Amino acid sequence: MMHDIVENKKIKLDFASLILSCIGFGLFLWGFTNVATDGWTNIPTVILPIVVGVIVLVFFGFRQLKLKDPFLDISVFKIREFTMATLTLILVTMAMYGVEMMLPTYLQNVHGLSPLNSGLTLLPGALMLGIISPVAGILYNKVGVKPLTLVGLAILTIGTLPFAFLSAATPSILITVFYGIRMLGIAIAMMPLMTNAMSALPNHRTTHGTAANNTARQIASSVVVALLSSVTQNIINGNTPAKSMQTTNPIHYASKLLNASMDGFRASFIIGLVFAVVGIVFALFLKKDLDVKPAQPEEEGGEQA
Amino acid sequence: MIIWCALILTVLTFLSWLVLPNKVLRILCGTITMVLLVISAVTISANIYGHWGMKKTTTTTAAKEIYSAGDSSSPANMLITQELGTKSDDYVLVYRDNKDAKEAKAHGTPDEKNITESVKKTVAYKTADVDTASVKTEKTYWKWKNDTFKFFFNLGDNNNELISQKTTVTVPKDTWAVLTADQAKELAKQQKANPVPAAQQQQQQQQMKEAVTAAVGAYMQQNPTATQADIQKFTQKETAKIAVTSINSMLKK
Repeated sequence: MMHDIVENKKIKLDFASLILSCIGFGLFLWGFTNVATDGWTNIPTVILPIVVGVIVLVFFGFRQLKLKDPFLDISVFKIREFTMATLTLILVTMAMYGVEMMLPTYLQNVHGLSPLNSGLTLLPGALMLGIISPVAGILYNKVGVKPLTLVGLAILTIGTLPFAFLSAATPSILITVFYGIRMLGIAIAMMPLMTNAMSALPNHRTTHGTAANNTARQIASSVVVALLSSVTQNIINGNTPAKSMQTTNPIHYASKLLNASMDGFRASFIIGLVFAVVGIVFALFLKKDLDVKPAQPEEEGGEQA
Repeated sequence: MIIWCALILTVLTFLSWLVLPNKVLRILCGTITMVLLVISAVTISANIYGHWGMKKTTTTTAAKEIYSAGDSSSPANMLITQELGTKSDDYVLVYRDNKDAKEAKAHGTPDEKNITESVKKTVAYKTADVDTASVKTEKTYWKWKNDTFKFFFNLGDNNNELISQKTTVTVPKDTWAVLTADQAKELAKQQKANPVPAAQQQQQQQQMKEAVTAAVGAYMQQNPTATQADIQKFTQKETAKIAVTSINSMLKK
């Protein structure tokens, strides 16, 4: 028989919030996913949905702050430790996507690997996440979130460096090992940051914290995926050789096309590198204390008033 | 090698900063391992991007004689070409590698599955005032500067990474005819469609024989000390010349 750790409360579903959040988030994310196909300046499918989505979300946000039992308690972001940890976590996620998104395409298109082989190339790195996370958990209790995050992000940044210089001839073993080094860095930073964000909140607000954290991460992921695919596509389009070359010198055309893809992928990797560096800067603002337990509920109530 | 060093240094950096209890030792080991890790990442990047630690080497194979793509019964020597694209100066050339090869082979067909390699290789031909047709290949590739670099940075087979490969076939102007694949097909079709009647064929062969005999006679007069082998070679050459001239005139039509 499992006991509830956090007490359960009966809460009524606020339909207005549900509708506002569906429309607001839906439009916002939909606008961003259209960037890759329609470009940043397309008004009906990109700019309009994003702007309307933001306006609806502003209304949604105000409603949440006024409700006694909010649908999504965004006031958790008022707690500095929670916000900093969530922001740093978002940057780690973005840095991860920078390479993650384009690497399988690179392996299959430029190296000609089958999807199975490209997956196998990245498998050791993915396993890292599973193996290192428990270790990071143990260390979190000993040294706290700041050293873990700083070391993790530093390793992530160093591990991403060769990706910015990747060429068509780079051996795949190099990719496997450095992808693994990146994942080691991510694993050290990610779990402690999540735990730290949650522990910055009092127990009765953990559910809201989780929802808010997940929502923030989902939004950030969509934005960064849109950003990366649009930048990559733009660079590829800019470097694609003239169609006439297909008849005058077909082999050179094919090769230049491949190089255009490489330039696009490299841009994506460099953006990932930038996010990792920015993450280090943010991590410096994390609180050094281990397991920050905030003030008791009475004080929290006083703060909100 | 260095990528494994990087991996080990990563683990050591991790352990130094997060596990060592003594603060002084932690900062010392942590900084050293991290600096070494940064150095390995930077040098690897320099190598994969700028070929740091490697130098360009060019080798040229000796000229090897090649033989006609045409039937051995035909006295004219033929080289069949197919340009890849309309302005690429890169061809697929058909010729025989050995005198007694049964069929002529196509040389220079690009490997479509590996475009990055294929784009580095070109095959071209030129006509010159030489006696025999030959082929030679010039390869430029990256080689490690010394063994230390090779030990640290060699991964798999990135030694001898090809930069460019140029194969040139040189054919004598007068005893070889150069035809594109389309021209060769046209010629064969024409000959099939308009077969020369036997009487005319015999007359043509007679004319050719007379021309050759006259040329050989002149040659023997100019070179009284010529051996039987020399005369035979000259005869062959003259016959080829005449056959090639007739092919070229057919092509011009």
